[in-house]
Amino acid sequence: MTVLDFHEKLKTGKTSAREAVFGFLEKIKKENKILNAYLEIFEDDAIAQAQKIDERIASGETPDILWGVPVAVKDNILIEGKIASSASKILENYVASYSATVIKKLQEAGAIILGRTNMDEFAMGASTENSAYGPTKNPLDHSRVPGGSSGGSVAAVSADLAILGLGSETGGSARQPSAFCGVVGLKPTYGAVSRYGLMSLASSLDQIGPIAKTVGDCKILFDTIKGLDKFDSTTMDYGLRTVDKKVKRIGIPKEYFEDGLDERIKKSIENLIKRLEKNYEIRHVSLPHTKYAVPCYYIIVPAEASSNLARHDGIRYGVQKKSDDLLEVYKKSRGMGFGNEPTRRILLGTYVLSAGYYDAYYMRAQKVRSLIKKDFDEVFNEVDILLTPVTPTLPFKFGEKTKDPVSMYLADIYTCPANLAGIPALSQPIGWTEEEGKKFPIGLQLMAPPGEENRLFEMGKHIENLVL
Amino acid sequence: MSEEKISKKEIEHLKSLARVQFGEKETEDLVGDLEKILDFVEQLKEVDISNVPEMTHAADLKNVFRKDENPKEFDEQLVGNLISAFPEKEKTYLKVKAVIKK
Repeated sequence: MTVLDFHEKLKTGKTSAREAVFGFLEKIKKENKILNAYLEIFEDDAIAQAQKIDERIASGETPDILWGVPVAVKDNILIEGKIASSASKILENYVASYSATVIKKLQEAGAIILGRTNMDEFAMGASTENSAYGPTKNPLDHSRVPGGSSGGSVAAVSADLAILGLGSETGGSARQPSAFCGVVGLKPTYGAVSRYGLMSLASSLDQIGPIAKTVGDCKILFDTIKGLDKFDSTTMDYGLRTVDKKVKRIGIPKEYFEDGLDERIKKSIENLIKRLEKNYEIRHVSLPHTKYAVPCYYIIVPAEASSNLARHDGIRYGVQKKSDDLLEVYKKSRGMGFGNEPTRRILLGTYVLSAGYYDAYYMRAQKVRSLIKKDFDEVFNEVDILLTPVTPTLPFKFGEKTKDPVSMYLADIYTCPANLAGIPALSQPIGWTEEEGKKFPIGLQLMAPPGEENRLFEMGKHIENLVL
Repeated sequence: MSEEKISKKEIEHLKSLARVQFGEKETEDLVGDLEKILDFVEQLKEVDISNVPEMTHAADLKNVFRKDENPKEFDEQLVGNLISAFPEKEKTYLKVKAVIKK
C-alpha cells in the first residue's frame, strides 16, 4: 500500500487509522520473527496515536497526507523515551533523552511510528549482518542480505510491514538496500534534512534517508522532514536554494558501467536509456575519479567515526563495565560494547589521524574528495541529471562478504560518490531479473546537483510510469 | 601484499589510544584486516593532488552564528532524562571513578 492509496481510503472513511495499525501489527507479529526487520514494536503508542487520529477525523477534521501513516524508524534515530541502540551492545539499555527533529516533524504531520528497525551496528556495513541483534533477511529471498546499513527499515517497507521508512545515509545505506529489496530510497543533499537526533557516523557525510514504495511517496516523506533546523547548523534554507528546472539532458557516466557490473543490471539500464532517448538528450560523460571514491571514503569515514564514537565510553549513558580503575572502565566498556566493524573503523580512524600518518592518509583523501566533487561540478554544467546503477551486483548471500571487509566496502562503489560530493541521489526499481529461480529487482540511481531533489523526483516518476 | 604496514605492536598502541580492550585472537584478526584496508587505500597515491585544496565539508557554508543568548529554554524534563541515563549517580550528580589517585 502507498501513502496516496491509504490517504484516499482514510479520507473517504473506507479505513481508519486504528484498522491500519492493527493490520500492520498483526502482519509484523507473523513475519518479523523470520525477517528480523524490527528490533522493537511500539504497539501501545501506535494504537494510542491511531486512536487520536480517528477521533480527529470523527470530529470533522480533514486528514493531512501523512495522518495515520505507519513509519518504520532506524535504530540510530532518537525517539524520546524509547531505546535507541544503533544495533550495538554498548547502547542496549540507552533510552533516548529527546526526539530527533525528523521524528517531531513526522509526529506533527500525524504519522505513526510503528517501531525501531535493525541495522548494521552504528550504520557501519552494507548487509545488516553487523547488527548485534542478528541479521535482517531480504524479504524477497531469505538466504540473502537486504543490504545495509538501513536493512531493517528497507525490509519493513518492502515486506509491507510499514508504508514508509526512515534510514540514514553515509555512503549508500538507504539507496543500496532499497535496490536490493525493490523499493525507493533517497540520499538528500547534504544539509537538506536535520541530523539533530541522528547518531553521528561521519558528520561531513551523514544524512537521514527517506524510504518508500514509490517515488511520489518518497517525495512526500522528504518534503515533510526537510528544512532549516536551529539545532543543526549545517541545515540550509531549502526553499531558497531550490531552482526547479525541467530535465532535458541526461548524463551516462562511463565509469559506472565498466567491469564488475552485473550484465543483467547493465542490460536493463541500457534498455531504459534507449527508451529515454525519445524524449531526452542522452550524453555520455566521464567522472574520472570515480574509482578513488571507495578508498577515499574508507579513510574519511573511519577518521570521522573514530572521533564521533569516542563519546561512547560508558560514563554518561549506555552500558558500563565495572572496574576500580577509570581507564579500565573505558577500555572494558568500549572493548566489550563495540562489535567487529566499529572496532575496525575506530582503530583505522585513530591510525590515519595519528601524527606522521595524517598527511599520507587523511589529508590526501580530503584532496581526492575535492577532485571527486569537481568531477560532478563539471559534469553538471553539461547535463541536468546523471543515470547509473545503484549496486554492481544483485543481493548477495549471508556470509559471502563478511570475511573480507574490502569486498563488503566495494558494495558502495556507485553510491558513496554522492555522499562525498554532498549531492542528492535517488534509488528506484526499474525491473526484475531471475537467479536460482527467484526474482530480484534491478535498481537505478539518479543523481542531481545540490538542492535539486525535485529533478530526481520528476525524472523518477517519469521512469516509474515508463517501466511499471 | 606490499610491505607490512601495521604491526601487532602498533595495534596495541592504537587500542590504548582508542580506549578499547579485547583478546589476542581479535587483535590478530585486526592486524590482517587493517593490512588489507591500508593496502586497498594505497591506490590514492596514484592521484595527482598537487594544487588541490582539502575538502572538509560537503555543504557550502560560512560560519553560522546565532545571537549570544541561551538558544534553548531550560527543559526540566530533558535534564531529568539525561540524568536518569547515568550508569552511576549520586542524587543528580554523575558518579565516576577517581581520576587522580590518592
